[in-house]
Amino acid sequence: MSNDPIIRFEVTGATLDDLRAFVEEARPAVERRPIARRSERGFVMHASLPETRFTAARALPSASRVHLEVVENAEEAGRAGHAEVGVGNRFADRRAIPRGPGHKG
Amino acid sequence: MPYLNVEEIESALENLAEAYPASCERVRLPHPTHEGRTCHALRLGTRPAGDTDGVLLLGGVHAREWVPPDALVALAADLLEAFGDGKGITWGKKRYTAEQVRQVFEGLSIFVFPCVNPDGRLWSQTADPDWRKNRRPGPDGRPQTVGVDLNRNFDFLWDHIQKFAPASQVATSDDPADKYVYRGPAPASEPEVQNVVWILDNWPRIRWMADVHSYGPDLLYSWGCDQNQTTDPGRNFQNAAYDGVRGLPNDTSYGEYIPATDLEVYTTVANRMQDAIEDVRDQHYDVIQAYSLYPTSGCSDDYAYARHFVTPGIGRVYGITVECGRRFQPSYQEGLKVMMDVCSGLLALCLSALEVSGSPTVALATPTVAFGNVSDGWQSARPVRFEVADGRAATFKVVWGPRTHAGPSGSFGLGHGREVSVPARPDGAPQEAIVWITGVGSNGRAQALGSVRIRCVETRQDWLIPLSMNLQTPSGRRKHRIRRPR
Repeated sequence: MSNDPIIRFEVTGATLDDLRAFVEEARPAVERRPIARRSERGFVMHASLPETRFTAARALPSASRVHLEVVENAEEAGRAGHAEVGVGNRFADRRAIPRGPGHKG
Repeated sequence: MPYLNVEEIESALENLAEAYPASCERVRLPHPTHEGRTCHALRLGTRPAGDTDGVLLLGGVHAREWVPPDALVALAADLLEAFGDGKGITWGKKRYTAEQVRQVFEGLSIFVFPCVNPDGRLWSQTADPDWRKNRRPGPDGRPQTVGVDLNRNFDFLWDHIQKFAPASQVATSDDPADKYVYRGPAPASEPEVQNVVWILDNWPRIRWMADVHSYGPDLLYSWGCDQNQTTDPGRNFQNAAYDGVRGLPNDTSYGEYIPATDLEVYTTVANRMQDAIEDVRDQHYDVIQAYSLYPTSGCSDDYAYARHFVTPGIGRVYGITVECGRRFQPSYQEGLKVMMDVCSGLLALCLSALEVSGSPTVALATPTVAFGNVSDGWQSARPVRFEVADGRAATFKVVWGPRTHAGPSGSFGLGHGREVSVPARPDGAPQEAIVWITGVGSNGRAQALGSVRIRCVETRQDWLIPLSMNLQTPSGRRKHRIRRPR
């Protein structure tokens, strides 16, 4: 287990420039495409940082213009995820036909 | 019921293909991954692939995004079972009728490539859950330099250092040690990307591509390289004059050109997908241009849409990225709900594809082209008009000529290039496409005969159109017949 786990968090700002200022100062990993969704409080984006840098980022000048909210500890989430990965091969039998979650009718 | 592992995905595709041979086939992809895995896709549809338009659905490009491959296998399984039994499908509160399921099987080829990056998925599911890239061996043998971000490796403005403004903060990297967004050593260097390109090359009637990622939830449409603009076609990704300028927000120096009608198609279809997703369980997916904070390069959606600009004459592919759910690896129970959202959105995409990108109904409105009274040294132009009846996209290409059969050589030419396209219109309104033919007068008012052959790319219809010059007086009275060469 890492001493400095990756923290995934949301960044919310009134404007896109508020988000850009934080990203350019804190240098987080942008979690996906570098886009921002509209939210009730302006715009929200997703990012991640090692925990120590995330803690430090809260004190940056640009952080005063955004709201940071932790989504998850990536390492803890990943460990939980590994417990939910298929073991073996449920479709090794050629007669085992996959079925989707939709109701057919 | 846990997430599918890599072996299970391959077996699931094989079993589905065996169970439903009349409505799907398994497609073996030619480029093995770095770890030697051979990937497969399913093609769903009852007609030969070349007979219908296609939709390509991708999942698992990014390793740590576990829901999309499961969602695509689930979609294929649901569609095949429902079609086989003549039934409709309900995901959550959203119901699709048996007739709608039948329509997509009989009117489309749906290519389902659920796990583009199996090497990466295996690594994410067994070692590092935060792993995003493929498993290309590192250039220096260090584990820190393993892997390429496949969604920065497509051949679209790949060389971000040359193509983008230095201050643009383009979200890619040329450093193999970048854990997330290393672009790779060359455009389309990765076998996983080459497999996607191979599908698009081999099935030229694919008109839509949805690359399913997580997380968001959002629906993204092109472009991702800069803010869209619809007024200046010269500002485009192929124009080297704008290298080093692209990617800055809110500047006046550059915006990526997108035809207004394409933008309307994108937003109309994305909004339908949004509605179809929301109907499942009230989850709202934002519809957003793929550029909002910073630009990207080498992404699949932009590559797919860019192809017809780079190679005139091939079909237009609208690329959409689905960012599903709110976690990379939600609990499987939550993941199942996200899968239903995705299934509903993608089936809505397929139904839209039937409407806005099926084969157009086209007709030639000017079966002959006649130039009258063209004097020596003068050039005139006449239109060859095509009517596109149903609002679908259509491309007309001059495949032969214009040639002069009688009279001074070079009497006929092309006014504005060998090809003309009209984009789809979501309102279905009829459109007109015009190929301009020029006539050049010589030797007084010499008479000439010629012809040109024009083809509709989508329908493969050919028209041989006779051309004539100075066979009639300005008042319309026929002068005299000229002698055809023997």
